[in-house]
Amino acid sequence: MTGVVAEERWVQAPRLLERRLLDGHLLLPARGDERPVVLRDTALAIWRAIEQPRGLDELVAALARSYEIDPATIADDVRGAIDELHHLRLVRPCP
Amino acid sequence: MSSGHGPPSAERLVPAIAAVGLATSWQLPAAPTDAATWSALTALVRRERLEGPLALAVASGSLATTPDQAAEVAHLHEQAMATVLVRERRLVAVAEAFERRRIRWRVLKGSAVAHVDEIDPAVRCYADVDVLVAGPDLAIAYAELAALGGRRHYDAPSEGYDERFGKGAAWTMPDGVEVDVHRTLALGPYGLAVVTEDLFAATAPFEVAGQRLLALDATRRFLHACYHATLGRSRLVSLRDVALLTPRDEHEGRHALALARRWRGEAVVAAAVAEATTRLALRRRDPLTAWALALRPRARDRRWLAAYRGPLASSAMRTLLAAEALPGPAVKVAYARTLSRGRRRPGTAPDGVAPWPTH
Repeated sequence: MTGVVAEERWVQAPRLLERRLLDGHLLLPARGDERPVVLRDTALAIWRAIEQPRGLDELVAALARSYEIDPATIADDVRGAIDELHHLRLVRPCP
Repeated sequence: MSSGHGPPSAERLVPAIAAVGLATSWQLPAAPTDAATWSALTALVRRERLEGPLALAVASGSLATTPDQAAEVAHLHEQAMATVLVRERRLVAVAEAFERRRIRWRVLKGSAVAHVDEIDPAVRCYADVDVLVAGPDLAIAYAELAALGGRRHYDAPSEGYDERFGKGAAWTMPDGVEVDVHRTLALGPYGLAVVTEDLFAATAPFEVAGQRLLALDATRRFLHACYHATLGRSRLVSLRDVALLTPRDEHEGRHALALARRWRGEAVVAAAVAEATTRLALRRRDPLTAWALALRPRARDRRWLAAYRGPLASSAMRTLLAAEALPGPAVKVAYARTLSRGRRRPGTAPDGVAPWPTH
């Protein structure tokens, strides 16, 4: 993992262009030259769960409740997904 | 479908797709279409920019599909929306530049209809960024587009033409997105008859990625949709815009018609509303629709409309008839002079006036 630490709080990036799709959500930062990105399933659930700022532990706990699974089994996957979403400029850490 | 026997053809299905979510008599088939019809239908949907309504038809259960067909719809819609988001990113960049320079401008067509009028922004597909810029601000707007790396498709035929008589100009930006700048709503006589100052008199705000934008108000969006559907390249998506925006009550309808009359565009509005009503099988019979279906264009309108649609339609005819829309001999002479002072250069359209893409 790079950069994502448990103490950090995360939130959806500002200034995103978005559209609902039949099977996901299409997102594109309003500045830059990237191609649009489709989020589906877990990645979309994670992105939606941080509409308001949330700490990583809090996020893991919320998703675990939602999927009715043990938080320990998804913590690494959530951290990895946040790292990827950060790389895509779709989420940002907040103070 | 609502009439006929046997499986419906793609040509009969596509207007029903365009009318999804509207009060229409079209009914989509209860069973999935065969492979050949489906293939023809998806080709027509792409041509008519109806990927959004097609996705809406599938999502709402209005259109029966096989699993493979449903997956294809999802893919087509995703591609179309990716195109749209890249256009919206360009729109935001243009907005920032225009706002910085305090340019008087408005968002037109696709993005405005998507965010202000459609059931969901994901229903409206579009391929270009369309903006209206006040004539006196055109030079600054063009300088800003050039500073953003844009390249204008064709030069104006002469100095002063853009600001006073031009429809606008198309620009291609470094990301390949086309930005169509409009000074008025159409080429030729109907475009020159529009009182362009009226276009800025009322607005509808909306927001894209935190950027506040202004569209025309509902009345002016309706009139623009009519001008585009009647005088531009006719697509079903344009007729859907007309159907979405046609005023519901008598007061709003009278207001729209009063403005159309002031712009000498009643026949344009009637033609668009009548075509949308017929092709989309709209069930509504509001006063404006009843008026539109009954109107028979006057001789002047038949002549003007023929310059846009039908066998006599041509840019030369529109240019020739444009003078009829101008007030008084002095303005007509000024118009003729801007054309005769033509400064043709490589990349300039042959008649200097015609290059505006009609979509």
